[in-house]
Order: sequence, then structure tokens, then C-alpha cells
Amino acid sequence: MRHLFILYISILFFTHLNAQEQNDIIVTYDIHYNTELPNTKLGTLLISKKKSVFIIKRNEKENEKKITVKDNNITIKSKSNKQRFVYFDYEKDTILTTVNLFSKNYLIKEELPKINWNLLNEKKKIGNLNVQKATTKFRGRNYIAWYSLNYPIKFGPWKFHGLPGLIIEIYDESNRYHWVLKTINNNENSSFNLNKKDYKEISLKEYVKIRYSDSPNFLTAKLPRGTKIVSSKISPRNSIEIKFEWEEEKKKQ
Amino acid sequence: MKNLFLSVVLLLTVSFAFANNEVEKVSIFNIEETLELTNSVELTTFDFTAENYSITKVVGTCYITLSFYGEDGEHLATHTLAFEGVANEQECSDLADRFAALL
Repeated sequence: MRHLFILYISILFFTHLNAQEQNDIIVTYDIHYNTELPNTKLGTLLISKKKSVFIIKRNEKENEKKITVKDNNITIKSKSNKQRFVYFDYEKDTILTTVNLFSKNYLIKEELPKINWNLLNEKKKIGNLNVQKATTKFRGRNYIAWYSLNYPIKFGPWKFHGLPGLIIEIYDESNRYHWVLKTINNNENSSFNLNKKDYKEISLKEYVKIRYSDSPNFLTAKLPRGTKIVSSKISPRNSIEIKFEWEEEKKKQ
Repeated sequence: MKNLFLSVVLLLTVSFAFANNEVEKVSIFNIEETLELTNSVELTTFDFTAENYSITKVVGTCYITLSFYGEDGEHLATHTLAFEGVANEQECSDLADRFAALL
């Protein structure tokens, strides 16, 4: 009877441990942004059964100044004191992404996008991990991904998902955006509190309108009387997403 | 006859003496007037230059460039602003600092 009790406790313990291994995994990535102001950030992917969240944190070494003034040139970097993340909800089939634009915090709500992966036979080793190659085109950029079947997890950094294994490394063909796995850990206390109150919820279409708007309304309101905007140059689409599904559909028609 | 001759000599001497003095007086007067005139012209020229310089400074335009970048360091937009009535470069620089604080 005593032996039976110990066996029962042991089964319970190992089942519980196994469940945690599958459901609570923390993966960290180094994110390299080779943009006009190159910088590196730290991404943390928290994975549970039907949800995952990718949290992006600033590198501590990065210059924290939001505004710099030099020779009458003012440089303004979008920086938020609120948490930056991409939240996957597979039950509701949605993604929530935060963005700070022109000093405002937004929460973009969109349907889970379909990513069509081409699984290739090419293999290599990254550290101790055997990885396989996959490619895709997503929102105007061509990506190359290396995933590991040792971790049969469909999630990845940022909005990437749907591969048969965990994404170890992914980058776009111009290497403007590059994610590389740093650590993988099992964690019992991986929790994330989604606080929607800090952000203004908008749709993906609304975001595109704000992001690529021609009129600098936010600036006009702050100008002293008699001041004029003598020239404006809006960048062509150069962010991580440059083409959207409804724009692709229009083109096909 | 002798008296007449002496009178003529005296008259001539006095006449010459007065004549010399008059010429000298006219000469002195002319020099002073020229000096005054020259000073007056110089002063006017100086004032005019100063006024012009001042006007240029008062109506100066200060241009400030604003460059916006996204969270990933991507360039979003660049706007150039013009502030009228700025006196000098230092004031323009101070204006840029004050405006940056508003953003």
C-alpha cells in the first residue's frame, strides 16, 4: 500500500512537471534593427497552451533620450514608457500589437494573419541545435527562417508563427530586421498581465492611416503662433510591414 | 606835398593791412564750415549703417528641422519649421531647445 502511494505521488509529480514543460516556456531573442537609427533590443517570448506573448524591451546600453537637439536639428525617437508586446490569442484568433506613434500609445487589433511557409530541405547547426530552413513572404518582406524540430512549438518572435518547430533565427532578405535566439528556459512563474487601458485600440487599417499620414496634425497643434511648416518629407514605407493583405488583393483585381 | 605823400602811404598801408586780415578771416571760417560739414556727413553715414544692420537682425528667420523616428529606429518624417523675427543664432538655438521641450 505504501509503495502504491509513492508510485501515485511520483506519477502526479512527473505529469505536473511535464505539463509545465509544454506550457510554460520562456524564449529570449536578440533583435537587431538595422534601420536608419540602428539598435538592438531584447525580445522575450512567453509561451503557454493557447496563448503567447512576445515582449520587446529596450537594450539598457541604448541611449534612452527620446529627444536630442543639435544645431537646430531636433531628433525625436518614438519611445513609450508602456510595455511593448505582440499578444497572440489562438482561442479568439487575434493578435494585439502595441505601437508608439507620435507620442501616442496604440493597441492594434487584427485577425491572426496566415503565413505561408515554404519548408526547405536545407539544414545546418546553430550552436548545439540542428535547424531547418523555411522561407516566406509576409507583409511585403521576404524572410528566411531557421527552426528546430527539437522544440515542436509553433510560436516565434514578433508575429511569426505556424512553423513545425521553434524559430531559432529569422531575418528578412535585406537584413534590416534580424531575430536570433538567445536562451530557452522552462519557467513556472511566467505571467503576463494584459492592460488594455494604457493604449488606444485601433484596427490595422487605422494604424496604416496614422503611420503613413501626409498631414502632421500632431505637430500643427504644438506650433507657436506665426510659425510655418515650410517643408515636409514623409518617408516611403520602410517599417517592418510595408504591404498589407487588402492592398495585395486590390493589386490582384 | 610831403604831407600828402605821407597820407597816401598811410592810407595804402592801412588798406593792405585790413585787406590781409579779411582774407585770413574768410579762410578760417571756410575751414571750420568744411570740418562741420564733414563731421555731419560721417555721422549720418554711420547712423545709416547701424540702422541697416539692426533691421537685418530683427527680421531674421530661424529654421528648425524636426526628424521623427519610429520605435525600431526607422525614419518616419522630417519637417522644417520657420520662426520669423529672430534676432540671432543664439536666439534660434534657444528657440529649438524650448520647442523640443514642448514635444
